[in-house]
Amino acid sequence: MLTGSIVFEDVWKVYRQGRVEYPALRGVSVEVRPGELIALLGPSGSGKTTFIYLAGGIETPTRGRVVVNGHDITRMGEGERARWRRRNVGIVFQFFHLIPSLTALENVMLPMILAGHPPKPERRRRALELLDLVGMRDKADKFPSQLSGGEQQRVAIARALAADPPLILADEPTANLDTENKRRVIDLLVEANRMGKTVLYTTHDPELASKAQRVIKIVDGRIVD
Amino acid sequence: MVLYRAMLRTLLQRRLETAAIVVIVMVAVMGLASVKLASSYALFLSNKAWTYEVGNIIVDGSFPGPVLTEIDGLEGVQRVKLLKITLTTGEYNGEPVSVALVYNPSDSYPFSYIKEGDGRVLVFTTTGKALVNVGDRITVPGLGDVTVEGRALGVARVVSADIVLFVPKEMEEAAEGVKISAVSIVSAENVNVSKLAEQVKDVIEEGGGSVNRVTVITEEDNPARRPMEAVAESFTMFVSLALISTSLIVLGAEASLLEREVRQVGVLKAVGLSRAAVIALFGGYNLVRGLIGAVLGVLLAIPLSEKLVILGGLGPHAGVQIRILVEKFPFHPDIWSVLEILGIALLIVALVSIIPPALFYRVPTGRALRFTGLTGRTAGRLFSGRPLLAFTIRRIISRPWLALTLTVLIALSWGAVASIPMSLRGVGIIEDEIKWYNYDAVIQTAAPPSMASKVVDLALNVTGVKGAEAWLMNDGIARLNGDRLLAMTCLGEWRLTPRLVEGRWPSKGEVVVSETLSKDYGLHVGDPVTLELGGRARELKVVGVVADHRNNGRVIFLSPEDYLGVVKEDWITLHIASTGDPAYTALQVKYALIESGIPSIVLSTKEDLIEGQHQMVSFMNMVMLIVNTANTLAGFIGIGVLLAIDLAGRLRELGVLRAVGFTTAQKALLISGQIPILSLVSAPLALLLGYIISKSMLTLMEPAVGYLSPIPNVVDVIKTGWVVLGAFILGLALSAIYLRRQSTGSLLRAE
Repeated sequence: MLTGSIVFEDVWKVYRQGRVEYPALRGVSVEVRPGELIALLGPSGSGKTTFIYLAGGIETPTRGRVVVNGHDITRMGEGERARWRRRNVGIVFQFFHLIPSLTALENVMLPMILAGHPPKPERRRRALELLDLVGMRDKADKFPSQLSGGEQQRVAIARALAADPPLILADEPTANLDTENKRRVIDLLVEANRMGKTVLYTTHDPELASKAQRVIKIVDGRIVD
Repeated sequence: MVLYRAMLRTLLQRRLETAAIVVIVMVAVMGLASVKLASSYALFLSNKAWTYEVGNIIVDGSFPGPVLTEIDGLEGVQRVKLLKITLTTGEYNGEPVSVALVYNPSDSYPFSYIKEGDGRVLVFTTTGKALVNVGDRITVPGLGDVTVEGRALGVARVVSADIVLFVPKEMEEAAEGVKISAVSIVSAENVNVSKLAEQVKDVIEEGGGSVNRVTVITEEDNPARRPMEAVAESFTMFVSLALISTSLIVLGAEASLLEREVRQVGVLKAVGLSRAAVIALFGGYNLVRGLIGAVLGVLLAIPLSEKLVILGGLGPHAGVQIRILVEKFPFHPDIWSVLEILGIALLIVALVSIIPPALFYRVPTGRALRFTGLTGRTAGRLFSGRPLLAFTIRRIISRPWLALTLTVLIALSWGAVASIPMSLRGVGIIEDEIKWYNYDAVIQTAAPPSMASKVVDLALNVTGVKGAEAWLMNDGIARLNGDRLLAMTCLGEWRLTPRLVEGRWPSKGEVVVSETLSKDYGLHVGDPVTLELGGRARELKVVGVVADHRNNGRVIFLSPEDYLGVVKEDWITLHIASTGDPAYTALQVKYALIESGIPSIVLSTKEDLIEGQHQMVSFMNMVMLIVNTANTLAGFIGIGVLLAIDLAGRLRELGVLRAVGFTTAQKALLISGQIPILSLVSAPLALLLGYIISKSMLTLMEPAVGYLSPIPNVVDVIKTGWVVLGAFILGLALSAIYLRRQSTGSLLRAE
């Protein structure tokens, strides 16, 4: 069963701005097995976000192959990847990126509506359960601007779990949080992993990385350990 | 200085938005400038054709040779043209008629009494009193029977006679009669023509010549002037609407920019920028864009104006071909008009650029600094638990400026299109009226009103005629408390007129009003009423009420005596009702009249009249289609620009949506979905705007069509709802095209 697996085969990602090229990943080959809890550790600008974006099909590699949950996503078009993400990947962003005009509850319901799963009558109940899981049930009707950073990130984790995807990708989920909220967010990711999800999160903090089962170090776009 | 460098950078960064606003200002200014310059040039040419062709002073009399040289030498005289004329008494249809045979020796002029049709003998249609058809024979002393071979067009009366014929030199010389001459004089620019005419008369008389009549033709008398001005005004009105749309777009663009950058305003206030500095900074974006667009628009309008006049053949020019006129009087744009348009455009852009920053400056600094983006909180719990619908509606509510501008733009485009059926239904009144008429042919006679009973009796004696009425040719215009009414009359017995529901038909000093007027003004039989007739107030007595049948019931009937004070028209128009074929019957009536010495022509049968009205409807349809299409396009461009601006401000949000699984089509739907929602608010506004546009259009075209009112109907707005669908599809397509080219990563990295 390949659900929750990630395979990078000699993946290069080069950004271009005018005539200048910025290589973000340089020939990365790595495999994440289903059910793993992995921390991608590296300094700022090392290529962590690019790795997450490639794994989530948000970006496509300049060279190489990315296979996630058994799907070669490098062969998919943008629309196809968007539809694929609905049931396969949940993403948590560094800056939370909740939809500002939707309440916490509606933000969590959104992926379920798109994925068509679970059935309509169950969506609200499941969204509330997830908000309960992340300790945000009492703020279900609040808009993102009425929530603190930590609270927004917890809602974002609930949103990532909403469509029950096998893979959770989190890009510096604790970067903008205080110590207490950092701990709570990492605990939630660990909890998600216990629920059977493959979880890959990035961080530049070795202490937070130590909570993972496996740590992949990345420097200047290359895996070093 | 640093701030203005920042402004410049912003302009360059927002290339798409800047280009869109520059283009839309350019198009609107180009439209306004080209309409203004083209209409003023077309009118200038028409006036030139009117006065230059025949001259602006016509003198008929006798002129000894040296007198012409003297006239030519007078200050202010640009050109003198001599016509040789023989006045005689001839015979037409067995009746004696005065005939003038005119020979124009001045063939060297580039356009001179334009011929319509071939032949050497042309009837001069403008001045002759009798109505002569091509092919008719006129007996002229010294020439025998002369057959009319064609018609000549001109702009002024060259000589007083029943029939004026242009003939070759030998015919004019061979004709027996009084030999006189006429000179036409073209004055130089800026000359007091009346004074010059007096001088000319003095010179002729002092030189031993004689003057029978002096006619001064001014540009004011140009019959094409008012219709041309009306058409120009209607075009101006619509391009002005386009300019209003543009202003709204500029306003909406800046306001929606500030709606998402409230925090930036807060930061600027926090570092100490004054209101004026903030206005200058943000307003500066649009002023620069507006300036570039306006200058480009005016520059493009200059060549376009000349082309419009040439290609459109704008304006009647006394039969003179437009290309000849353009060659003779080349286009020189009036620099003051150009500067005026530029000034107006910049003033409007400046005004709409100032409003948004001035308003946003009022947001308290603390609140502005805490602004964390558009939240939709203002929408409260609307559509709670329905994210997709809530997403669109709350976005609309949270950006009121953008929503307001989009709503008005949708309404403008929609209203412009909805005005077409309203106007056409208004124009359709004419056709309905004709169908209502109980006559089926019209014969134009050269008989004066005093011959009404003779003309009617002659017609009634023709087999196949079941009824005949003598009317005067034109409808007169009267006013009641400023309300424009049609004044009509019938000479002799009123047999085929509308049904009289009360009272009797009027005699001198009396009036019959329609049912509508009776109801609206509380006018009853026996009441006095003060009407404005021929520019003078007259008190008349109401003696009857007639069933509504024309001009939405805004009609009065006067006695012929009172009517002739309103309309200076001296020919009878005969209305005929027939039992058989109207065309055949009308022809028989024509022959009967001619045999009795009354020159007449069959103007048209009822079918011809309806056909004529169809042509008018088609013409109005075309004009409205052109101007409304332009307006709708301007509205669509505006909607496109605003959606693009909205899109540009939501890139990261759209990136997140794609990250959670939205497809491009779904995201485009979220952007474009604003249009059908806002159109619910636009619909009543479109109905109102459609009525206003239609009313203005018909009022401006009044000189061409006479009297019309739009008939608004909610169904018009529903039927023209395709405009909303079009805007929706446009928004969908633009958003989808743009979003397809953006990767999710680039959207997420957007600022």
